[in-house]
Amino acid sequence: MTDDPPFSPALLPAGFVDLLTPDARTEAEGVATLMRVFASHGYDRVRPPLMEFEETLLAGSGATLADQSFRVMDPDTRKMMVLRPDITPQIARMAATRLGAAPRPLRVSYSGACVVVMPAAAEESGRQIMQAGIELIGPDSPQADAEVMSVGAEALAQLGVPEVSFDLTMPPLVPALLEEASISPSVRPVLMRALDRKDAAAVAELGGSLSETLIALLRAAGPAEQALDQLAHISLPPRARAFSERLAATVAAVRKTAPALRLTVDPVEFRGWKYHTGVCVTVFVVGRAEELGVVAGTSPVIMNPPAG
Amino acid sequence: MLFRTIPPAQPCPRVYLAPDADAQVAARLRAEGHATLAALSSTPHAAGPEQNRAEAQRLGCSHILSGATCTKLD
Repeated sequence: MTDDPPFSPALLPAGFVDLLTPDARTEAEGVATLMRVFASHGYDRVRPPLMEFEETLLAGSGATLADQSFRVMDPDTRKMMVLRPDITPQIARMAATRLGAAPRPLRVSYSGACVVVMPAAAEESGRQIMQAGIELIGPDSPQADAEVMSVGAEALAQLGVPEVSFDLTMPPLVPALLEEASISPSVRPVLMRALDRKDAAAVAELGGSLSETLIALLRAAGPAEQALDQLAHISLPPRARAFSERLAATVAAVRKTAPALRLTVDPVEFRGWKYHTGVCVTVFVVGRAEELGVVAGTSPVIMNPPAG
Repeated sequence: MLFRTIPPAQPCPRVYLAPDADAQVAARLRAEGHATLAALSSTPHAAGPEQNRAEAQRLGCSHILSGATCTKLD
């Protein structure tokens, strides 16, 4: 016999909390503000379900979410279901099925709770995340990137988030460059890790004939205009060049719609390159390290408003 | 269940922003409760008035904003 203390009714699983007022109101009103801005730009609201079949939600690009997903068995059908860790793949599924015939560009917005196994940012302790976002499906163009970013910026300003910075990356650039420069496939993963750590010494050692280019790319990170200017002077093979030009075109389009936006560019960053086929944007609050959200290639803006 | 007992949400009026639409007027329309849909360049080029109207209709808009003038589509 063990003498376990009586189970307290206030005890909750790690990462789950009761929100009280004012935190519960801050979250609800914050989401309403974001959704109002999204709707005002023609993003039609949808609401996918909390749970889905494992095999549909985690198919395709959703596979990267497998480690983040709580699974539940449907006692009725014995099928495995997952609690969504992210709404984005649900929107992709809807766009391909129920909204398959809807005219493109398709603009949709969504908000709702998600549950993750491990919170992405160390400072974020909650496993239940409130997600609000938009997707602009159809056009893959600098103008579409710019629209999503400026709507996101307007929503954050309405929310009262003091100062945000958008960091643009082009995840497929480095993999394309290594391929075009015929860097041996056995060296590529080590070299990519060195680039990821911004370890110039290791890059110089492993990069062979490409070392100089790679180090120049590492240095070309920073405020957008300065970074693009440096990037333009680096000689790149055709596919890598096309990716870098696309990055520059997106910056130019953003400057047209939202000239005051704080933009940085990091051409070497390639986190998420397995599922991002185009420009990827991470939003930061100026002066704080944690990410506020991600704008990916097919343009979802995801915001996780601080939940208390 | 509860939400099935009440009338569905009213659609908000949709305004297509032609490439030459005035940004300030568009912002005012949004503040008044309209949804504005910006033209994207990958949608049909050669944005003549006819193409703009067709694109507006295709996207389910009831109005089109060109310059500072907002017109109803029939």
